[in-house]
Amino acid sequence: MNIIESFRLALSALRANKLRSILTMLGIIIGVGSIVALLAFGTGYGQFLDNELRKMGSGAFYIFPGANSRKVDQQLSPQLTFEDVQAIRTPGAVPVVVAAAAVINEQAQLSSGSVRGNYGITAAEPDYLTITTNELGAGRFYTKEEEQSRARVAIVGKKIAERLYGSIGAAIGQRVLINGVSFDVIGVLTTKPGFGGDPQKTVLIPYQSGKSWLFRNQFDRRVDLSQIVIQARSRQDVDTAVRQVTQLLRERHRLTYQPNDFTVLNLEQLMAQIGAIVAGFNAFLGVVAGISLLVGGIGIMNIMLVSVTERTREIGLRKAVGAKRWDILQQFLIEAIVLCLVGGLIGVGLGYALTPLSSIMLQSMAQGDTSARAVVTPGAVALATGMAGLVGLVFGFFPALQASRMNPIDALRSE
Amino acid sequence: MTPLIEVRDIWKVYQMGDVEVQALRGVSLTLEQGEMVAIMGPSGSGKSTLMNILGCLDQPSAGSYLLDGIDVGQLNDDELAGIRNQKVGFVFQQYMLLQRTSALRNVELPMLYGGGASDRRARAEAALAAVGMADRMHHKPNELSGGQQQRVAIARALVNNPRILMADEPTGALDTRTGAEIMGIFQRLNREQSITVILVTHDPEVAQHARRIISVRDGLVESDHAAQQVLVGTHQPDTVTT
Repeated sequence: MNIIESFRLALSALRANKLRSILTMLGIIIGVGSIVALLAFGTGYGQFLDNELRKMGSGAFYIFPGANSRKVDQQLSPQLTFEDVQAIRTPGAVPVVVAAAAVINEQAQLSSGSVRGNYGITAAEPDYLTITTNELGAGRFYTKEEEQSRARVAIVGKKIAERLYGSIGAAIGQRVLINGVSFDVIGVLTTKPGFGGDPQKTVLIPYQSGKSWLFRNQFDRRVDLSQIVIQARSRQDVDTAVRQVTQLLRERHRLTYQPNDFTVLNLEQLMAQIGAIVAGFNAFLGVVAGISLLVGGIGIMNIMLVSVTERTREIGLRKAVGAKRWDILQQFLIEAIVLCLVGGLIGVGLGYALTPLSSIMLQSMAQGDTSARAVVTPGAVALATGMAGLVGLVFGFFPALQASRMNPIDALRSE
Repeated sequence: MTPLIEVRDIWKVYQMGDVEVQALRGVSLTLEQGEMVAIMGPSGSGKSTLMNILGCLDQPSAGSYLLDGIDVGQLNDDELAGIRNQKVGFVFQQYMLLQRTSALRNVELPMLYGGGASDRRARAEAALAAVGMADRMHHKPNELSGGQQQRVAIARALVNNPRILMADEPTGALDTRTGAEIMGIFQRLNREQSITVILVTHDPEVAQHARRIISVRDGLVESDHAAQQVLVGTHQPDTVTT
């Protein structure tokens, strides 16, 4: 008997026992559904991490003043200066570094007319704008000349622009008072929120402008910035760059046996760690889904054994009219596989229906970033369906073997 | 010309727990092509065992069985299935039709196991027409009367053009008149297409439709003689439709 005939037979057997088929498939449906939903979540989270990484600068890393050590007695007073940035930038000092920028992160009061509010402010050298992802809704970025001349120019976040001026377009050319100092608004930032907070509620100004006009009192000779953002030549060079920059800073700070008086944040490493945790979590849920499939498989086997027993006379008749062992084995095996595949397809539908839920979970993990979405890939669908088919093959085999080995005389005589 | 069936001193011994049951104790038979034979005997006589062996559903414990020159005792299960498919057609007391399946598809069943035939449907239709069921091909078994179901079963047995038609109490579940119609079909097939028909029955009246009666008792052939064949009237229009 050919395969197509067996499939047709299997489908009509399923239709004949609709309720029983559905109940039997339930385990497979749940198993496959959860596999699809989990893979969608995992894929979505992977894409989210990748986007975040790109936003914070691919191949970028950060240096903060102060040690990361918990041993208080070993801690030195923090040290990190603009001169360190210049040293890193010196041609030939660190070959794998292509750019470095001094950055100050502070809070400031913004006002325009009678509207005022407290917002985050980032005073950064122009290279910062290209190392990290910054999108403009209107206007322009500030230039190297404006950086050097301590120009009072500001790029305001979209939400600030809307609050102070009513719209993005209206903001350009306006004035904004930052801690009472007047700046010209030259651009509006529309970067989407991510791990680093909400750029749309932040003001960007040149580093030197911030240092001399606004935060003169916050800094001293040992620390005159909040962080240094460094761009390595490529993602592969980040580890080398971190090592070389650390070496350079330790020499400049005259550290020998002491721990660092600064902290390096390697985002790639951090993302990899987060990714590993998520992968572990996913693997655990995957095992749970696998157990569900296993239980589903046992259900399939059970119902196939029942079906073989119920249809003993049919098996006897088929053998009497010439069915060989393989014909019978194939018939019941395909029936089990079809049962699982139909369950698998319903499960895929279920998993697909669950993706909005996965997306909500994902977005809560991604701090409300609505661009984070659970993604059902064709590969995931194929994997889940394939697993279901495999369960049918494995758990359908024994009942099918039993059917194929029946003695036709006994089978015909059974009631 | 070699006989169609040649059975030499066959034994069938079952082990039932500690007890050894000798169902057949040295049976020898020869059947020629085109015979119509009734195998008779009370239950426990061994007639069912003999029928199973003749129909290649079972193999003898000892002795030899040549069917159409093939030594059936030497075949494995799958080869036996092939022989049943090509050379034997079975008709059972309980019809043994697949429910939920139309008469046509029931008749197609043996062809599913006999290599891909492109004319499957045409052959099934012809077989159904030959037993007077041409107008009920698409009915399912539960929409047919007992006699009609048995006709479908006969069509199924015929569809691969077998050498032997093996009928196990074919009228056991039918009333007398319908039973006689069914016997008329067997006689006609035997006469017109010279298919060898083997009837297994305990009913002497049914056996009267055969031309030769073999009585089995206690695992042995008790008697084997020609019979005065009672022909079912061929004038009945619903039995002759070809």
